[in-house]
Amino acid sequence: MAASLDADAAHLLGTWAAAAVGPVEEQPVEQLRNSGLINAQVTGEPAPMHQVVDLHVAGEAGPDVPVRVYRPSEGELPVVVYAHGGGWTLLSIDAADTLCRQIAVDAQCVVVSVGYRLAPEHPFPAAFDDVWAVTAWVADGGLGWRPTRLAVAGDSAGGNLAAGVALESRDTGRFTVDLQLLLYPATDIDLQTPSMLTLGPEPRFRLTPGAMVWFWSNYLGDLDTSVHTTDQRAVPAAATTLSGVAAAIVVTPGFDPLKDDGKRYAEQLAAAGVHVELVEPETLPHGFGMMLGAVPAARSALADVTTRVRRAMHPRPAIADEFRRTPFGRHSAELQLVLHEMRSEPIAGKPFLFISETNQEWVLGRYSDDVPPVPVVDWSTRFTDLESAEWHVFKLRWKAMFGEDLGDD
Amino acid sequence: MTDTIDTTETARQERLLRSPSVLGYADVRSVRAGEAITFFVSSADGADFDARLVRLKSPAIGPIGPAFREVAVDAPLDGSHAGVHQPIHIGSYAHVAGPLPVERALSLSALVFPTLLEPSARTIAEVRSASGARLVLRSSIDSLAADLIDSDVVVATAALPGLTERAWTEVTVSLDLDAGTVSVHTHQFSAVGHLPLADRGVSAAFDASILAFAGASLTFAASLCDDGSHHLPSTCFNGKLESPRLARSAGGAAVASWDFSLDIPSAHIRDTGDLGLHGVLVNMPTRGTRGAGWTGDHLTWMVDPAGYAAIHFHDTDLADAAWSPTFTYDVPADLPSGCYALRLQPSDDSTPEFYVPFFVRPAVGAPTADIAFVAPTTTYAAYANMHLRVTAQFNELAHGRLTVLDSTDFLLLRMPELGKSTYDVHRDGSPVIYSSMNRPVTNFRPTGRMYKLCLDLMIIDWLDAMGYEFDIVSDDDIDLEGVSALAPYRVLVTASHPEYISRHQLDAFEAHLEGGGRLMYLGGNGFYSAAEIPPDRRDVVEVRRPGQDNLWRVNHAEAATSTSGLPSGMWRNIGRSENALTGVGFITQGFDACTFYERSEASRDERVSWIFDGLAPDAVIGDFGILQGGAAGYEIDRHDVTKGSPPHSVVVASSSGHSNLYDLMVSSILDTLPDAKRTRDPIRADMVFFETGHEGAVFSVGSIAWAGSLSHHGYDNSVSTVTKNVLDRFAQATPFAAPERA
Repeated sequence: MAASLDADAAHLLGTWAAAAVGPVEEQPVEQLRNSGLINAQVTGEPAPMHQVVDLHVAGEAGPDVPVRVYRPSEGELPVVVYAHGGGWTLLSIDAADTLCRQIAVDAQCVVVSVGYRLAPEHPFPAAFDDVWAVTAWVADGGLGWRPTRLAVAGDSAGGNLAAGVALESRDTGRFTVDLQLLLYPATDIDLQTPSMLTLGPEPRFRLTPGAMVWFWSNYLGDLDTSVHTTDQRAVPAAATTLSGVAAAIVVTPGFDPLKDDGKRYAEQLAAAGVHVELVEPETLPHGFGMMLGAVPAARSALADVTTRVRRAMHPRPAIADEFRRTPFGRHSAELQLVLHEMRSEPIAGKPFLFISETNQEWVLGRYSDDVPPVPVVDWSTRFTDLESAEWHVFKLRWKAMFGEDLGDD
Repeated sequence: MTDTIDTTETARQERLLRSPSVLGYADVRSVRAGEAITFFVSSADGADFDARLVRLKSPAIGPIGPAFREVAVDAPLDGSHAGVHQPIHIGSYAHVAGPLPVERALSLSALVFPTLLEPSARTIAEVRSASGARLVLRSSIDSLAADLIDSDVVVATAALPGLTERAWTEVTVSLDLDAGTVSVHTHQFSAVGHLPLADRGVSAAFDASILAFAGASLTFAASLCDDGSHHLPSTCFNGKLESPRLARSAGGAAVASWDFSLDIPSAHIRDTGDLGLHGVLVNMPTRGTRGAGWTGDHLTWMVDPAGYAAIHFHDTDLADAAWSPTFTYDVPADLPSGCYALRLQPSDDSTPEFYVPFFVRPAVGAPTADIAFVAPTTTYAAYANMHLRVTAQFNELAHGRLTVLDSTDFLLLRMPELGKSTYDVHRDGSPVIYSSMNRPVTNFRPTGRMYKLCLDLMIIDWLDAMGYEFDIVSDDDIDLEGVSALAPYRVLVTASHPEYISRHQLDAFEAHLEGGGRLMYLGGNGFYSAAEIPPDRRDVVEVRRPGQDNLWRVNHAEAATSTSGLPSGMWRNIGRSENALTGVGFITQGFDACTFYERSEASRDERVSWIFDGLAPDAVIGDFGILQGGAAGYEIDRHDVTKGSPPHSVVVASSSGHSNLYDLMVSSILDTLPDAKRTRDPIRADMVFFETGHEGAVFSVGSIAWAGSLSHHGYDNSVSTVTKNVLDRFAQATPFAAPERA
C-alpha cells in the first residue's frame, strides 16, 4: 500500500500552489528568485554553530566562488562540500542555511556550502566548475587542514553537481571523495520514469516535465542540440561506468517526480559495486530538506540521513565495528588484545550488570574502590539485552582508552 | 515524561538491591522420605520471617525458558516465625578446655610460621584462667609480644621485634607469678632463603599479688571471649603452628605436648602427655600441611607424619555457621523424590527471598523408578560461596562477558563471615581447601546464574515434562553408601556439571557400570576433580589442586588430603581419567558463546544411528538454547583414546566453531611457545556412545550447555529428541551387546 503524503508537507505544497502565478517555466527568472517561498519559517530554526564564516575561494577558471563554512565544534573534522538545489537556476547559500547547519551538527562535520554561479546566466560548466573548485580547495587543505574524510553533497540540482564531482574526482584523481550524499538528485534527463509519469503532471510537486526541461535547458542549453547531455559532469547517469566512484547515500522521497531517477542511479551504483545506502522517506516530497521548519517529518527523515553521514564520515575502527557485530564469540586477534586489556581492569571501578528482571533487564553497576568493594548500581542505565550492555561498556572503555567517541548506535 | 518519582518502582529497586536478610541452611543436602531434616535460620535484626516448603520443578530463568515452577508443599514449618539473629564466627582455632595443670607459673612454646603479618596483632596462643586473667601471645608485623591481662587491664607486656614471615621460629612465652615476670624468647630456625637471626628474649616485671592462673584453658590461633553460649574467636592468626608444649615453669619438663601429626583427618588435637589434655579444632584449619620437619622425601602424611605436624590457621576458615536449630522437618514417607527447598523471606517482604534447597530420595527399599538423577552435591559444596565470580579481577576476562550479579551474590561482599569456596584463597594467598554446606550458601539456588543447580533444574524439568518417572540420589548418598545407593536404578542421569567426585563415588559409578547399569552424562567437565568428604564432617568437601597453575594450586607436597592421606587433584593425574568412565574428558571452557553438534560419519552405523531417530539425516543438534544460543559450550569435553576413552567408543557428533576463549584455556599449557594462543588442538565437544561389556552402555554429551537446550520449542527439538532416544533405550532391560572386536 502506498503511503500518503505527509499532511504538513501537503499543506505547505498547497499553500505554494495557491500562490503560484503559473508554471515555473513561464515566470521570469528574477521573479522566481525573489518569490520568498523558501523563507525562514519554511526552512526552520537554524542550529547554533561553533563558527560560521563566509569566504571566497578561487574559481577553477572563473571568478572567486563564495562559500559559507559551518563548524559545529572545534577541531579538524571531516568535511562535507554542499551544493544547494534550485534547478541550477534558483536559490542560494542562504536557502540551504538551516539544512547545512543540521548536517554539520548531526554528522559532526564541517560543511562548506557553495554559492555557485547560476544558470541561465552562467550555463554549464560554471556551476560544476565552482563546486569542483571548492572541493579541490578543501581537499588541498584550504580550511587549514586536509580532511581525513571528504564528502560531496547536494539536494536536487545540487545532487547532480555532487554526483558529477564524485565521478570526475574518480577519473582525474585530483582528490579523493569518500562519500556522495545525493538528496533527491537529478542524475539523468529522463521524463519517462514511472515517478515522473505519475507525479510529474501534478503541479504542486513543482517538477512537471515542462519545468524539468526548462531547468535542464537553463543549465545545458537546448537539450536536443546540447553536446553536454553525454558529459558525466552534467548528466552523471551518462557516465560510462559508475564503478569505483565514492560510496553513496541516495535519498529518494516518495512524492518526488525524480524519485525513480535517483533510485535508478542508486541501483546502478550498487550494480557497479559501489556501497550505497538508499533512503526512502515515503511520505515526503521533493525538496523536503528545505522544509525543516514547516514539516516536522522532514526533520526526522533528515536525522536518519545525517546519522548515516556521521557513521560514514566517522567510521568506527574495524575492531570496534567487529565487537558491535559480534560481542560474543570468535574475535580477531586485534580485538582480542583490546578486550583483554579492557576486561583486565582492576575490581575497583569495574563495571558489572545487576539483574533487574531475570534474563530480561539488567542495570549497569560498578564496584567501588572500598575493600571489600561496594556494588553501586546506576538505575538510569538499563539494558534489555546483554549485547547492548556489552556495547555500552565497550564504548565507555574505548573512550577511556583512546579518547574516541564511538557514537550512539 | 514527568519528574514525578515512581515510588513503586523506587521501592522495587531498593528492595532488589538489598541482600536477603533471612538466611538459612540445612544439616543435610539429601534426606530420605520418612526421615528428618533440620533447618537453621537467621533473620537480620531478629525480624519475623516467613518460611515455606516448596518443590523446585524448574529454575527461575525469566522469559527465556520454562516458567518457574516452585510448587508449595504443605509442611508444619510453613508460615510466619519469630526471627532470631544468629551471627557467624569465622576464623579457625584450636581449643584445649583444660584445666591446665598450672597455677603460679607456666611456660608455653610452639613452632610458629606466620603467613600474613599485618599491623594489627593476631593471637598465636592464649591462656585464660578460671578467674578471667589471660596470657596472650600476639604477633604483628612489628612485634611479637606477650600480654598479661587481668580484668581487661594489661598488667605487663614483654615485646620483641616481629617474627619473620614464612620462617619457622620456636617461640616460648613464660609466666611466673611469684617472680612477677612474663617473658618471651624466640629461636628462628636456620633455613636457606632467610637471613640468620640470633635468638632473642625479653622479660617484663609486674606486681603479682592480684593474680592466679588456676583452672586455665588454652587456645591456639585466636583469642576467645565467651558470650555464655558460644566461644567467639577474635584476632585470628594466619599461619602455621606446630608442636606446642606446656611446662609448669620456664625450662621445666613438659606436662602437655600436642602432636598435630596425630589424628590428621580429625578435628581433634592430641596431647601425648599423661594428662591427656586433648583439644578440638574449630572451623577446620588446614591439616596435612608441611611442618618444620619437612624433608621433601615423601608426599603424604600417611608415610611421613612428622613432616606434616603443622596446622595452618586462617582468619577466613569456616566449617560450619554453628547456628542453633530453628525447626526440623519430618519428611513424610510418601513425599515424592525430588528437589525441594525451604524458601525464606522477611515477613515484611523487605528483601529478596533466600532458598535452602535439598533433595528427597525415596525411603530405603522403596525406589519408585528405574531412572535416577544424580544430584551433584559434592560439586555444589566445592563451589559454595564462590567469591571468585563476584570479586576476581579476571572473571570478566575468563567469561568474555560482563559479570552478571544480583543482591544474593552481593552477600559475599556484604557478609565476609559467610566464608569462601574451594575456588578462593585465604588472605595469605593459600587456597581454601575445605568448603562446608552448613552455612548460608549464595550459589546453591534455583535463581541467579544459570549454572549448577539453576541449570541442573533444567534437566529435572525436562525429565518431568517428558513424563519420566525418576528418583533423585545425591553425591552425598553415594559417598556414604557406595554402589548400593545406585543399585536400584538401571539408568543414571547426571547433572550439567558433576565436576567433583570422591573416591567412594567414583568407585560406585564404576561398580554400577560393571553391574550392568547405564550412564547418561548430560554435562561437561564431569568426573574431573578428586574431592573428599570427611567421614565426621559430611557437610564438608576437601579439594586440593596440586600442580595446576592457577590461583588455588597447592604444592605437590600437600596433594594428599587430610581426610584420607590419598592423592588429590585431577582424576586423570591419579590414573583414573574421566575418559574411561564417560568416553570424554575435559579440554576447555569459554562461557562467552555456545555452538552446536554435527553428526559424524560413524553415527550412521546402526549400532548408534538410533540415537538420532526422528531427526533429519543432516540435522545439526542444538543450534539453540538458553545458554548462549547453543547446546555445546561453557565447559566442554573431547573424546581421546590416548587419555582413556574406550577404544570401542564412538563419537557420534561433535561441535566446532568455539570462540577464542576456548583456545586460551588449552594454550595456557603451551604458553611458552610463540603465538601460543593459536592452538592447533581441535576445540570441540564430542558426543560419545559405548557399550560397557556388562550389558549396559554410556552416553555422554561433553557439554554443560546441553541442559540449556532441552526445553527449546516446547521440548520438541533435536537435543530433546537425542536425549529421549537414549534414555528410552537405556531404560529398557534389553542388554547392550558388546561390539564385535575388529
